[in-house]
Amino acid sequence: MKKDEPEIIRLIPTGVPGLDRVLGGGLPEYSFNLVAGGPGSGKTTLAHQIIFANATAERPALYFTVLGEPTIKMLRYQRQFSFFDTQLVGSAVQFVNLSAEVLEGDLSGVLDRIVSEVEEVRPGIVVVDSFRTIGGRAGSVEQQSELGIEKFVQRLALNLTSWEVTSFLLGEYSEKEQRNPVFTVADGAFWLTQATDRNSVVRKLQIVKARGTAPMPGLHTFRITGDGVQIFPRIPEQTLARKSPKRERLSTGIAGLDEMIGGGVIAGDAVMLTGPAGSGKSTIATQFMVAGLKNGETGVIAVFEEYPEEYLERANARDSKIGEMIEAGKLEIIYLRPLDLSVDEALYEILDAVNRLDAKRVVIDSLSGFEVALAPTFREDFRESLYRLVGTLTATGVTVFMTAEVLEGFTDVRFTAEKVSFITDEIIIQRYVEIEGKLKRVMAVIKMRGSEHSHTIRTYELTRDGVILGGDLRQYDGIITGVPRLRNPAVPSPGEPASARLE
Amino acid sequence: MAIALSRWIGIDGCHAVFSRAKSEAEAKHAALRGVSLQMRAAQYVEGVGASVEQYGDDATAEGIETMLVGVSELLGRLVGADMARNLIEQSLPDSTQDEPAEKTRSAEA
Repeated sequence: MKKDEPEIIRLIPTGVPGLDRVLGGGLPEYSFNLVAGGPGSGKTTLAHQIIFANATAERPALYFTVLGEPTIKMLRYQRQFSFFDTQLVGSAVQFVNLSAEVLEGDLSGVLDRIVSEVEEVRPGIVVVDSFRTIGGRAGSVEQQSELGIEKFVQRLALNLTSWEVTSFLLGEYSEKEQRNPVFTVADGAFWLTQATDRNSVVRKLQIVKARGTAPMPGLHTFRITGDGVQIFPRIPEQTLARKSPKRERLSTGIAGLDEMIGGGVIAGDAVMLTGPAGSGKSTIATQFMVAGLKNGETGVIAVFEEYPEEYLERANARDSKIGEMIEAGKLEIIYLRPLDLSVDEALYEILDAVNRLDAKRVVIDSLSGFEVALAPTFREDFRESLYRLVGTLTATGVTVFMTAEVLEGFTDVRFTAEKVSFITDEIIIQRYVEIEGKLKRVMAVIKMRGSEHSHTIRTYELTRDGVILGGDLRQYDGIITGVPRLRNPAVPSPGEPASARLE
Repeated sequence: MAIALSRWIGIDGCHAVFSRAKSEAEAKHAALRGVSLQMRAAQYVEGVGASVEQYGDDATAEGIETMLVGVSELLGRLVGADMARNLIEQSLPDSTQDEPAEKTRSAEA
């Protein structure tokens, strides 16, 4: 559109969280849309949510019900949603049943009834639910009627557009039916699906057609709750403008660890802490967050392995700062463990909290729990999903501290079980070693992108006050095997100064 | 009222609600035994005249009133009292968009 031309196509808000973003700003006014999907995919709920968000006494919404779900039952169920305002029913939102006309099998009669209701009520939005019922019955009588379904759809679209109506036809179509004439005439086509994989159900939305707008491509997961449909747009990392972090150093809250990583975590980086069960990953992650809070920063902790109450109880036992900071609105603990989670949903929840608190630090505890919380279908591309999650979070300028559990191998060094070390800027590993018949915890810094770091392996203790680093183990060889051998003090290690042996 | 209500919930839906209400009212009011509900007919309730002749004005009116109260209560249980009231208000013969207070009063009555 030229700059000096007035805006012809106004985009109207749908009232469905996330949908406007997917649609590229909203729904084109007076568009003729098809909402397709299988039974129970959320078509009716989506349509109700849109009409209740937009209907007014001056421009009401007309909701035509056909055969299929009886109107009384539909109202009974839909009124459970928080968006359903019973005060609007009868005035701003009017329901009209077309079953009598449809049963007669005469599409002209159906069209005439719709048009006469539109002329009388002057609605801003019209919904026909289910349009498939009209089409299905028309298919059987098409030979008897001169008005085929194609002509019917075209005339309906023309009439509704002439009356300046934004309309939705709801129908149970399968993906094989995308050559149906309805799809050709429609300005917009929304495809809703729900797939069951093992014990999880994943709902997805795709905008397969959108005249006049630039919708986000791909499949977007959505959830139906008591508040209706919520869509979690698939956010490609590259669409976000990256904030340039100041590259300042952030304290981990553990003095010795800050030294090992060259003075602290680099702001805006993604840090991965990996270790076996009981190695203190959550403790260190919490210390990292508390260090920021004590410095006046804000933060978000996403927990996947335990309930927030349990997490809080453990954290408070070491440092009451956590509870105080939550009350003060400086810290938020997000619980994400539904087992049918999508990465986009997790990202939405975390980003929402980051924006709300203007957070500087984010802890994800743990990636292992996150992977389990995902619906099986998303676990298959966990690495790609995690790449998007971390990329999108760090693009906002926050520093992300993730923990990941690895199985203790004793014969090799594993950075992560998920093979996702490539997405991180800094990697710290923990493990157990056996020294003099006792298990000792050790940690080392494996990777610091763009910065010097210590290469020593240091012991540490988990105390009531958190993690306290001990000395290094330079007098031992074979530490990464898990069973170090005390080196002969007479033989210096390669490159080691003789004085080091005396420490 | 039944015809107007049919606009919202369909002829079948409306008839199902009225039939249930009549059935329950009939148990208490013998005057309704001769009254029948004619789906898709121009006059939905038939046999009122005969009932008046047999049982009298008051008994017939009481029976029909009980049936209408039953319709209202049943709708209320199904879709909620507030929405049922809206639906019935919109379906009353005298209701107009310009007289909300009047509509409320008549619905309450």
